[in-house]
Amino acid sequence: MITMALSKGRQLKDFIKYLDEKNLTTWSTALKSVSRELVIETDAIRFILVKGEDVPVYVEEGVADLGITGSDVLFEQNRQINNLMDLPFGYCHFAIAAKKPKEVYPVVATKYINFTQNYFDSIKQPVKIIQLKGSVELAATIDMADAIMDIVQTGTTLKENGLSEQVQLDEINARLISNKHAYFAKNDEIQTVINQLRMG
Amino acid sequence: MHSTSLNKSILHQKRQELDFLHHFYGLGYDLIDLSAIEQFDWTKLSEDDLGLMNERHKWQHEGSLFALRSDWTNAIVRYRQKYQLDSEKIAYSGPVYTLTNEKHQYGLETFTNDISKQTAVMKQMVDYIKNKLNISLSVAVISHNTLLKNLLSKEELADELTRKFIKERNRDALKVQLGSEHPILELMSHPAAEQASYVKEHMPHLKRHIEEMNLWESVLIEANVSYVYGDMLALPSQTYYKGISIQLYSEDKVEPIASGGQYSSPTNAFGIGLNI
Repeated sequence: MITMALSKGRQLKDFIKYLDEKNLTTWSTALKSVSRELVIETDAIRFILVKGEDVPVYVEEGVADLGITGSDVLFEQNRQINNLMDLPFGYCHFAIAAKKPKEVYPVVATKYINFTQNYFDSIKQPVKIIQLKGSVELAATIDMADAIMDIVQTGTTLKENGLSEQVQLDEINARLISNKHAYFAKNDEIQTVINQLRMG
Repeated sequence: MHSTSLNKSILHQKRQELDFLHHFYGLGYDLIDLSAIEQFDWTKLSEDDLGLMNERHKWQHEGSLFALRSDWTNAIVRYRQKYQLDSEKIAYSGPVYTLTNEKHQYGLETFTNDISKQTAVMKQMVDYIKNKLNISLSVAVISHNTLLKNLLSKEELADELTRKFIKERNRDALKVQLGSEHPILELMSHPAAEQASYVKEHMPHLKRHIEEMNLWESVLIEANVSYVYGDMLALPSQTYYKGISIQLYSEDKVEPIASGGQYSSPTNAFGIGLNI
């Protein structure tokens, strides 16, 4: 049996919608029935529901053979996994947001410290990064930072906090990932899941 | 106070290690034991040494660099570069340390060009796993460490992002990086189990590599390994890995129980290690 780690919350809803579109109703029905359970079993697949940032951890450790998570999470964590396939949901993008456009942003608050460091290295600008766990917008609103680096979907949250997008960066969407060894050790089963997700 | 089961488990592990050494000593292997602490000279660190340092416990003392052994083959390669080793076949056992854990490796190495002698060593390891450890092998993955050299230009092969995307089998990102017409993209569009046949049929210049892989594959099929896959996208972790590399999996286990491969340092060799 294949084990797949899924991210709870909005991405799970998007995944269920995608499964319905592909007529993979056995999986979607099982996932729709979830209330507080964290493990859901169908005939051929076991889903485990975890925090989005932990999906690559479960996959790298081999607890899950497959996982679905956002490319933002994969950008940030340098995990030893296979990054197999684009999935057409969870679309958003990285962006630098601030109250007003500036020539440089010397202090940036973010959850995504690796991505931020890589970006500023690529444009050859020094940056002080303040790592935050949440409510990142606040840092720029109260002038603790010149800007924030965050993921943006509609821009509503930025607007509500008096910020606007200044630099649009990499696109983000959901990705199917696999454990490096399970990719071969359970190749038939994994290939079946890939084919089902591709074609439905 | 130790429980009985813990005492038994410790005795079992120690006995298993001794059994392994006795078994292969009986089959004509010389035994080797090396210190788990390796000493390096800052001015003589190779590219491979530097590449591994991120994954090793290391410290400095009186001008020298020291590190805990993280891989037996790597330690043996370095030993052979420094000292004469007359044996053609050796067996070893002992701990290896990564940054976060300790593993016990039991392994075999043979220093010969002769492929039949190399495959015989692999066969003896497979037999040991099956008959002495009573573990059945369900999957084997065979790759060829020079295959990608023939599919990518020197620049592409040296590019850090390209290597990362190949390692991750990220076809979408490689399409952007290399262009959708690149032959590696077409290869990756086929399921892993079909990639070897695709290479054989469409890339005749790689025929020699595939034939070498087939030879090793036939030994594993003969040894009743249920599924043998060819991995066309292997990137060698160390520059001395220049030929076939093999990973063996037992039923329902995600980590390989044994892995090994051909290497050249300074003469041709083959090694296979059992992860306990």
